[in-house]
Amino acid sequence: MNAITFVFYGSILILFTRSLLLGNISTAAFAAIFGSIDSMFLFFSIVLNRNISTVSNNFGLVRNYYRFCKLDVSHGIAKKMDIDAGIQLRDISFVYPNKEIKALDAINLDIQSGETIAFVGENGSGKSTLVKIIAGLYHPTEGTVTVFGRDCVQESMSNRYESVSAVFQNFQKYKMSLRTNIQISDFNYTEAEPELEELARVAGIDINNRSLTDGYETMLSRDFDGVDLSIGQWQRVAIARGLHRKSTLVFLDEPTASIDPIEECELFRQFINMSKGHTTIIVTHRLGSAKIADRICVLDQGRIVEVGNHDVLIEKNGIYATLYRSQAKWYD
Amino acid sequence: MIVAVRGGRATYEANKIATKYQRKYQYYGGVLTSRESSLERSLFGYGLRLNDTWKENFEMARKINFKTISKWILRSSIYGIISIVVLAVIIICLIYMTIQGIISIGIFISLINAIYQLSGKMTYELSSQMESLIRNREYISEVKQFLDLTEVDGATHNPVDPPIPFESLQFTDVWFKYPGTDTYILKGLSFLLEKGKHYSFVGTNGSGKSTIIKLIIGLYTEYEGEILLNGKSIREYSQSDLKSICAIAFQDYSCYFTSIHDNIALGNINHFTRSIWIFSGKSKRDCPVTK
Repeated sequence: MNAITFVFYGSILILFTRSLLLGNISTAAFAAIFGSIDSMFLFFSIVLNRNISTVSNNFGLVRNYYRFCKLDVSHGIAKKMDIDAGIQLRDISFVYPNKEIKALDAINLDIQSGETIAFVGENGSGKSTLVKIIAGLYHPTEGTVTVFGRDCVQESMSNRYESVSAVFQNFQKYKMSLRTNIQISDFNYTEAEPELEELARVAGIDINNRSLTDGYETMLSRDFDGVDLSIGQWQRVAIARGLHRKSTLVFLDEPTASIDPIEECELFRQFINMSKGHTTIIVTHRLGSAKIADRICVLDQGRIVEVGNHDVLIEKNGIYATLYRSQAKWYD
Repeated sequence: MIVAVRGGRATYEANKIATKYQRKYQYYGGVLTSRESSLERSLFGYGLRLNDTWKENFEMARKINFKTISKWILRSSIYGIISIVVLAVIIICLIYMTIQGIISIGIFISLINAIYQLSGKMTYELSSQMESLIRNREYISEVKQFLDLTEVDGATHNPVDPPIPFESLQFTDVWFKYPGTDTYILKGLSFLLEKGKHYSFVGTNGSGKSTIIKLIIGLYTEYEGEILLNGKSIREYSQSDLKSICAIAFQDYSCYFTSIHDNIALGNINHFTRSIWIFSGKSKRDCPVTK
């Protein structure tokens, strides 16, 4: 573009200089025309360069935005919840995108309303994946999930998660205040101070700890002039977050992974207390905590291999019994 | 010129404040769109509320920037008016001279062009360059402050190769509190670790287990008492030495968005390209980890 401009500019200049030298135009006229042409060129080059480059820059942006707008938006029906109906999993299979191996294979399970069930198994056996499928966060590749009378896949997103809460294994550490970190699980409900304190007490958060300089308003990140919490403290915040959201179905995915044994015992005691009448699904490596569940479901390579309560499974002497004894051995 | 100087400094200060809000709303934007938070975002449904907070911060930043720009436009408009008035006066004079025949029309036009361009440079361009200069000067002085911060020698050096062998570690009456806090985490801690043995530190949350490790790897050096590594004070070792002695599996480990090989090889940076073999329990033999 610049080269073309230069060529044209140069040729006009040569033309006019020639006229001047030949005496066809006066010096003053030459100067006047020269000045005008200069501003005209400047004007046009600005218009062309700026506008064309802006347009070409934004072209890619607009095209991507269009693609984004065309993505599927999930809708769904809104059915009324029937808590007594429990949870039914029929022939659930799941394959992660870009993978070939089935993470879950032909899972069939019935969970009673109000039951506490524990999923145990080795790393990669599919425990967390199954939780996400029951919660409706992932859609199964095959099979149906019916939670309290609603089909998870068909239910609209706002309804699907109504009355469902979770403490995730990879809980988020939001760079926000302590209060927000707890109440983020349900902004529609912000409890009064005494209730918030009760939550914190159950989760084991010590609000009087000197590291929480502004109490509930303490910013939990150094990035915004706040403080750093230890992993154990963050885990308690995540637990409080899960408890804050009123629910009839709770998922606890390794909720005490970073908590010491004495506290863990106390926390689980509190869980049982608070989850009376609620359906609770626990995922855990620590088989000691699985004992509190009504039933234990053992997963291996995406399949359910054993189901039953602790005593029944120990008697059976299968995978669960082996796992339990190998862990118990460490405490001898 | 003076106005330009003061204007530049005010603009810079305003920018600093606006940037604080900008960092906040950029963070919120990240939480609203990132993959990591997608599970909680879906389940807890906090998207709309967080969006409002995003907007609040965005508006704060926008308003500050808007004020700054409006002030600047006001200033340049005033300059514009002044220069138009001066120009008008000159043009009237020149018209008079042209009518009087003192100068020709051609000269008149070229003079007008020249004066027009010159006046533009004198007012608008000069003041905006001045403002840029002041803004950049403020920025440079802050960069200088950053560069003047205390550095730990050798923080970026590679570990010493071959690694220094470990003989013993001794803590004697060590007291330690994190910088900027009042509570002591370690209170008169003493122990001795010898080569070849395995030790376990157990305790409740907050009892100081991880803190001990941070002191061993030399992350903090302001402690009271004595820490002797192989009989020599840990403060006398360089960062490279300490890095070579210790290997750590962290509780809050990082995941790097690169190959499995690289994620593992980062643990031994001096031999990054060495091939890695992992024992597979399933196939009961060593399997190579390829890129």
